[in-house]
Amino acid sequence: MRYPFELGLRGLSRDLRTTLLAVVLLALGLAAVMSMLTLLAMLSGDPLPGISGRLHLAWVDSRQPERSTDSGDPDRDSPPFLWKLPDAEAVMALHPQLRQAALASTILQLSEPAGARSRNGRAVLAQGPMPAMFGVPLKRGRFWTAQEERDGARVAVLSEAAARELFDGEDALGGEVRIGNGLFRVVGIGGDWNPRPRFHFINPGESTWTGEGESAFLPLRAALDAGVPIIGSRQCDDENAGGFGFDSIDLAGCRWLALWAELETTDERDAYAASLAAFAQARFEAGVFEREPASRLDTVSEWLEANRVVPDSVRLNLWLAAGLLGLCMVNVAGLLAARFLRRGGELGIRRVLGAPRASVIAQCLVEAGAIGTLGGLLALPLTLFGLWLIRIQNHGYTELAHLDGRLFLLLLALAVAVGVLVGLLPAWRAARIEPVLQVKSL
Amino acid sequence: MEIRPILTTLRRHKTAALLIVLEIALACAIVCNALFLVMQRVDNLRLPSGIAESELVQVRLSGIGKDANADAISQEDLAALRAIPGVTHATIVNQVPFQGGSWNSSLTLTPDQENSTLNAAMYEASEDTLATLGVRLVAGRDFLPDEYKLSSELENMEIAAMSGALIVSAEAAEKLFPDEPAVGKTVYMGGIPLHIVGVVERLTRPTQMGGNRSHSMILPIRLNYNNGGFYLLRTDPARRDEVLKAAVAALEKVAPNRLVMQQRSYEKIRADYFSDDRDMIGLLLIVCGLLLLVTALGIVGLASFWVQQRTRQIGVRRALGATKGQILAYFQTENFILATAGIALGMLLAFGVNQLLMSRYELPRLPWLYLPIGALVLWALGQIAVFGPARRAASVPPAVATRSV
Repeated sequence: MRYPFELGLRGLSRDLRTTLLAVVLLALGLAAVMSMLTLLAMLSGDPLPGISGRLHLAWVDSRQPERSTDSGDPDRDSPPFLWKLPDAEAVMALHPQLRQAALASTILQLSEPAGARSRNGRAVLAQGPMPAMFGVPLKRGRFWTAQEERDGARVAVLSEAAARELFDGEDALGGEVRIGNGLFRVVGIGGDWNPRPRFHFINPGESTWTGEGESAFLPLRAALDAGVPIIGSRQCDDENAGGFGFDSIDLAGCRWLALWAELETTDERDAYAASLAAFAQARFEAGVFEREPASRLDTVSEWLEANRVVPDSVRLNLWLAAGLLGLCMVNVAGLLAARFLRRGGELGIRRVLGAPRASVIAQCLVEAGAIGTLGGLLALPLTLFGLWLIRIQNHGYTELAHLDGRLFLLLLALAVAVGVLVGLLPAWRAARIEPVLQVKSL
Repeated sequence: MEIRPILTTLRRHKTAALLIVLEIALACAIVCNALFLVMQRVDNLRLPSGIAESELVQVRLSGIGKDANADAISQEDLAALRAIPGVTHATIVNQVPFQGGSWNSSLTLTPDQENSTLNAAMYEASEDTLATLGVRLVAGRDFLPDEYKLSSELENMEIAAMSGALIVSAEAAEKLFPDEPAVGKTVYMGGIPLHIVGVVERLTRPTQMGGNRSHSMILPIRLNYNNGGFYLLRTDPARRDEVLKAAVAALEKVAPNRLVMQQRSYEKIRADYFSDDRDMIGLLLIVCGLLLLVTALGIVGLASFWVQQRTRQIGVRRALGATKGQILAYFQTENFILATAGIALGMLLAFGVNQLLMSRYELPRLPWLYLPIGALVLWALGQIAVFGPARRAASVPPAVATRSV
């Protein structure tokens, strides 16, 4: 087996021009596919590893009957998920043993009590132990307690960056910040929490890949009480003329919250889903919900899929890259066929001297595999270049494009496989050379 | 030109011939579809907005906290902005075509109608908006001064007491009242009666909604800088930078301590909105170029091999009297035959790929026109690629025939 192996490798150095061409072509195709695969892998990754597996987004249909006759389904790209506060509270009360959170993400202004320093940032307003459920890293202090939430205590958890900016380097813990028209006491300082994509509250039409992280976490009741304006996705019943008001919200008439539940086992999951369905049914029968009862319980990955968080253009580009690789492979197969057939004479002599067909095929496949490997090695810098090209485009998600070790191993494996695959047809053709004909012309 | 000898030769080189055909077919299928994608993106870039794009600049402010005087300050702002040299019109609006995010609402023809007749983008405009945007009235009139209402006051009003004037885009008017003039009619938004006073030729929606880009309406509602409005200035295209700088300075003078969230020309807004399309066009064109290059290299590689392999036969033909031109024509014709086979297969493949894309990404059907174009490109590519090797073949001296290799 060693001899055909040696012959195959030695074959590489003959007719260097086509060797080089084949290597470059394979590298090009592989690099295109690897760049797009890397981007896709990054985009389909888990936004909160270890945590998002337990989180489920619950929804019941409390919307009014469809009023629009416009063609097109408004829910196609962004499925409905919003709750009215009273409904969300009613469902949460059904499962006191579970950790649940009704939350909204809004842009608000944090300022130092005297108004000397202020900062605009995103904040999560939540009913329930949201920071603990979503793994917000706590640097110092604590999150708010259930008691504080019931009492409507004005407490807040700030991100480190926000605390540093507002308190100008002084200790923020125990200090006060003005939010809306109330003063909130800082009980905890959290580290950077910025899941990519921002799955916890997806505003339709807004990129889930860009933007800064949440700079504050507030208990919902206290925030409403302090008149914190909520600027986020919302959907209001007709009589509330949702279009006119900009920052006021009608609690009974508007849907504006996402309800998340932490469910560990399938039993818990099934029970929760069943209770959601029962809740929807009961509300429908009571005449509160006007549409046919409908409910949904999505895992994080299902929710991301439903929102088409991975842009279609990325998948399309992967198809395109695969097409390019396919073309390069056909091309290299052609070049290899030419190389092997040109050596018909010597392959014929080997066969006449007793080498079996398998040995000739092995020799050719070794040469093809070696070309594939070289192509894979050359594809690495090309892939890095491709990823750099992707990064300098500014689509928010593109900055995530980096190659990791596992994907590089995949690249090498793919390269060898591709090399051998493109060698199959030419090698088979070379092995069918009639030895006698070849030797006769010598 | 005799075709039969060529076919006979090709039959004896099935593997190589098959590979070339396959290569051309693949290239044809991918290039046709990629160019089709490019053309669709190009169509996006060309979408009309209906406004005076090159003459507009935008400044968006954000106040610190609630400002009870925001409406009064906004009026002062506007007065200061209109006084800037070079500014012909200035207004405060809530949105412009091709920005991210949009305000929309539904209209009905009667107050208690179950299903709405039209969903349209809702532009809220203060005085001078039509002139600032540069939209053209095709029927009716602009709003009268007493028709404008303050958005901050509407929030506290009884719904039953509300009514107002409305201007709609021509396509929205057509959808509401297909065969009659819309001006003078009354429509309802959540039960609020709105009287259509004018129709503008075109005012594109900020974002596509339900596949529609052209249904829009303008309400005479005055926003302030702190409740969703931003300033839009119209000026000479050459003076936009200068006007932007002066505008920010003037606003700072009216009331300091406000944050400038955005200051940019409308062209920048539009460019940002379509940046995805532009990048995609670039990427697709690069890939198309690479595909064609790879195909050409493959053809050159295989043709060179054939020429080298047949040196002796070529020499014999030359010795028997074949001219250089005939040898050249032989290889060109051979390539033409292979390309034709590849293109035929490629067309089928192109439609297959298109079907797949249609089912997954809601693309329209590939127009027939792309096929002849794709065919021409690949025929030309093949002829150019094979020319080098063919010329080398033609320069084989007849004496080779007498030499034993």
